[in-house]
Amino acid sequence: MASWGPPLRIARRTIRRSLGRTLLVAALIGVPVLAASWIGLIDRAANPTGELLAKTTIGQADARLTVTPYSKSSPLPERPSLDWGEPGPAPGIEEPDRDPTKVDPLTLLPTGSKVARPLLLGNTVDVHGPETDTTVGLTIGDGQNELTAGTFKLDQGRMPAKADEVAISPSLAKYLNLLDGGELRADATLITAKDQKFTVVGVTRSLQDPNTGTMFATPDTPLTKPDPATSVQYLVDLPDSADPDALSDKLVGQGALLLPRANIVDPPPSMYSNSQDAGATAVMALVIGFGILEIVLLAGTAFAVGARRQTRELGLVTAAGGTPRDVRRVVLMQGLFAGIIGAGSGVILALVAVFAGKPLWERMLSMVFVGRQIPWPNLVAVAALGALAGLAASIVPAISAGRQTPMAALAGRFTVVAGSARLRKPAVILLVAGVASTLLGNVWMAAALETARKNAANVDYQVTITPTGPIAMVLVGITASIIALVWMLPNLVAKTAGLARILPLSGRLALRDAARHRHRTGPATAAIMMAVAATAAIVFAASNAIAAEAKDYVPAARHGDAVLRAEQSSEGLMASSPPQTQKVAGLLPVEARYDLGSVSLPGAKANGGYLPTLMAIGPPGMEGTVGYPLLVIDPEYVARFDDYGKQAAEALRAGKIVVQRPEMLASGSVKVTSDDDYDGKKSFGHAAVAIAGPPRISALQQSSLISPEAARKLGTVRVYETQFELKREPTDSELAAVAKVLGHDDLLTIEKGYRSPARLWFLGLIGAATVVTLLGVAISVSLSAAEGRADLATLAAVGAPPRRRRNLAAAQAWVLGQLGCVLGVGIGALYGYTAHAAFGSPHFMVPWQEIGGIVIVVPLFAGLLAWLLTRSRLPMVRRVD
Amino acid sequence: MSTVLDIRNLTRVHGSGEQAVHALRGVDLAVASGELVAVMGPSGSGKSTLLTCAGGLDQPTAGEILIDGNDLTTLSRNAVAALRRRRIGYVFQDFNLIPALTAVENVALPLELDGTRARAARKYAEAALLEVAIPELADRFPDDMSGGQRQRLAIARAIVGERGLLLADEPTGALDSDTGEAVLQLLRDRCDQHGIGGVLVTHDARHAAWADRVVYLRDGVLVGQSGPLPEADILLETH
Repeated sequence: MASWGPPLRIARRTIRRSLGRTLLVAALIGVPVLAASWIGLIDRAANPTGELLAKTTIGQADARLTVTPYSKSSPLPERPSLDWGEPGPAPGIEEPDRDPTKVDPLTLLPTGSKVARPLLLGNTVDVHGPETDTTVGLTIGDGQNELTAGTFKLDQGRMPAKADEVAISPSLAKYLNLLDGGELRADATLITAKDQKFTVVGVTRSLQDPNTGTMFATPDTPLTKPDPATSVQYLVDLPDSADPDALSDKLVGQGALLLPRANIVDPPPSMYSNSQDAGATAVMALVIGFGILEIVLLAGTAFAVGARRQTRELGLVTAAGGTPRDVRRVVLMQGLFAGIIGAGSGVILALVAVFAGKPLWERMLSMVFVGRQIPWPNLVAVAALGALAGLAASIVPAISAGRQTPMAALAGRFTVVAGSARLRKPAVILLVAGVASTLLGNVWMAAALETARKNAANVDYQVTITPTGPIAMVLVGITASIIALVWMLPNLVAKTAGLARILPLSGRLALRDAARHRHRTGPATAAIMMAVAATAAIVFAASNAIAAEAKDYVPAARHGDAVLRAEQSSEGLMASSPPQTQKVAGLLPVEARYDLGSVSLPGAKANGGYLPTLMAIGPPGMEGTVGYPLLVIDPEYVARFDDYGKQAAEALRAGKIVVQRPEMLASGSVKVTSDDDYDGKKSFGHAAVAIAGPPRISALQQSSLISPEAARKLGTVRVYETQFELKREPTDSELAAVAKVLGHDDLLTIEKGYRSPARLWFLGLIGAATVVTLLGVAISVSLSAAEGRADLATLAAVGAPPRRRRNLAAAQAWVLGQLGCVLGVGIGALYGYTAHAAFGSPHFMVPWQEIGGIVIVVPLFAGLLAWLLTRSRLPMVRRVD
Repeated sequence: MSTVLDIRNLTRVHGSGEQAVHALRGVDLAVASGELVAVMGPSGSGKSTLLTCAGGLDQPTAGEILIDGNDLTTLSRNAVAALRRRRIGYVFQDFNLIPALTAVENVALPLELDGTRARAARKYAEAALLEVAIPELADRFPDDMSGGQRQRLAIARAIVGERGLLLADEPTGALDSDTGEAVLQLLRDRCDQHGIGGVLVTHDARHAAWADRVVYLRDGVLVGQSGPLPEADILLETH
């Protein structure tokens, strides 16, 4: 058994001596490792686990107690966890039978327990702003209690301790001009629309939504009244003697749920836990696999350069009695070292980037990073994959180096048996089988999707289906195609030599040189192919996804109208209040204003922040969607939409509800009920007409319509959106003035039809593909220069001008780039064809502009770059080495 | 004295057909232990080819090369490599040292490749460096050494361990005459004191004078041999 010592030593020192090449390979490996590690770290920061998750959800508490409005509740089918909401009432209890706010939680808990109210987002509050009133979120809880520590981020001051104190979020503080040089003013006060005055004692952020305009108040705040129909949560500090699990079991019978901290730190097994989607896992595995293959091919080509430049040194190992295995070990160890350097650097840089750039990521991703939880197993796995990629990249060069005869190696010759130029039959068969499998999988998938769509024909929202079987078949097909192409590429490169005779001298030499050295131009072209394939696949998939989105796009308003949301949005933007809406109307060239709203029964109470609203429902057994919420809308708004509009407006003016489906009616009446009335006890009939074919306006398509006058007779109307018909398109200065009033520039939108959000992404992807392609081409061209020095010297000797050498390098870069791009786009198109079926695109979209850019511009650019780089006296190989 | 190297009817042809070049044609040569044989001849006569075949660096087209009774032509690549590690020391004109290894590591290389533990190999290597009188250079890299030092280092690598055959291909070609003489003295001593068989390829009669026997090659054929060259002949030839 020969020793590993000398190969390790030689590899280690060679890496240092060939620092440029080592850094190139390390970068090829390190950059993807950095990206993957960054994603892993950010994901863990956004979704902490274990003790950190417990800290962010229940602070320092031993458990979280939920007291429901039912005196007895049904037992949970499994141990409680964060996935569980609150238990339902016990059999026999249908209505809330107690006010949970009146239940003293300590009576439910062992003696010595302590409780505090967690910080929970409740209602919204209108507050006076510098321009006009604005609506902000209200979070209530015992922020001063040590049990809540860790569930929010206090930036300045303290949390409120009294009912007339509040803390506010940084965005609200900024909007209200309460900061002086970034510091909260000592006399900072906040006045609500009802003229209630509060002292602002701190600036704090919610962990989940730090950028929202939010105020934090104590549980006894006058800003809101407790809702007796809503459960109340407490954070609980239990005495040491208490058994949280036993207590949890006991409390279920008393209409309360105790979630022990241990169940958050280490969640119990659940039958409802999210199982990994097989299709998604397969796609992820394929993406990672292709990424590694791409790294291996690119780095492998760089290693091939190194192995050739090391030929003599490796020959010396042989001359000293080393076996081919010893030589292979030297090259393999270099690969492993480069992989370790690249992967290690990638992980370290990701750690530095995430933790040093924490404020930037928090701002960009709208989250607060709590603690420094590092997913070490994931990072180690990513780093190990990177290091193994380095090892894998050196395998082929190592085998080639091991095959050198001592004499050839000592003379500095690197002889390679290129083999036949004929295409290998197994590779051709594999390619045909791969393409066939992909196409058949697509046909199968299209059929499955079509069947699913037919089944859901009455459902007027988009159906998302993931047919795992066909996707697996497609992925296997694409994988087989790629393997076959990589296998046959050296022979394909050789085949291109047949075109040489029709080309000018530089092109002729380039093609023949590429064919002659197909053992290295093959892998380089494969690397380019993989780089381009990944980009082309994304471009195809994005194009088809956008086409599908455009097909399904339903405008929010008539083309050219302005839409102003009047509610707290899910994106965490500050909402617009009625005074703000009025002010916005004055700033825009408004022709007409229309309010869109919902209607609730008199006395309806909000449950968990949601106010139940009325909807029209069809008879039992009606297929498809049964309930359509009542949209309170001015008949004049509807009248603008052709025949449908005229009929609907007439019906609305007559006080009738307008429904879309005739089967919802019975004797000219439709059943109306509250959307929390599950058993229909509160339902009643209302005069209605059915008018089919509402215009493609999102609010009209998903609702039944009712006029404001008719709605007010049923209950309370709440406006949630205002649309403005405009005389002309607003100017930039008008929009800027509106943004100033609203505090954000995206609360008001002008309906202009579907607009693709992906243009910048496309440009970025094309840029990335160009960089990777050029890298592959540069490595290959440098290798060609290293091996072709003798040929170039001969050319120079017979009088060829220096320009000829540049032309030769440019032509070879173009040949390899062109072949790799064409094949890469072919693979990408296979992906894209699959994507078009999976995304439900109306037809297969070919993004000609982007694909044209890849196929034509990228190889030409590569050729130009090679031409420029070969201009100086220094051969390109020196740049790489 | 036993025969260390026995070359029988050695033929080496490069290329084939009309392009075939006969580098060696039926060469017979035997080298006994303790004997230093010089090979002389004009450029292209096949001297270096004879040596590379004898050292297992090149494969002959026909014939036998017996080292300690083992025919190189019938052995596997690994077995030949093992012989190179254990029994054959090779000294090149241009040193052929591994720049990534220090002097002592270069010398220890064959031993370590053969499985000797690094520490033990280093001890043997240091002893070899002492023999060639450069023990103080053990931890230097070849790039930091003079030509004479490098060749001494190459000789140390060639003699480390239990080598039975020392092959030197123009070992003084890159050295000045004084340094060259010192190197040849080293080779001579090694053969005399350790009973190693040596083959010295040279085109310089003064260097051949260090040998016990001189063989002459021309166009790949062994055309004659003589005993040690007398001093007068050398002077005549050199002047």
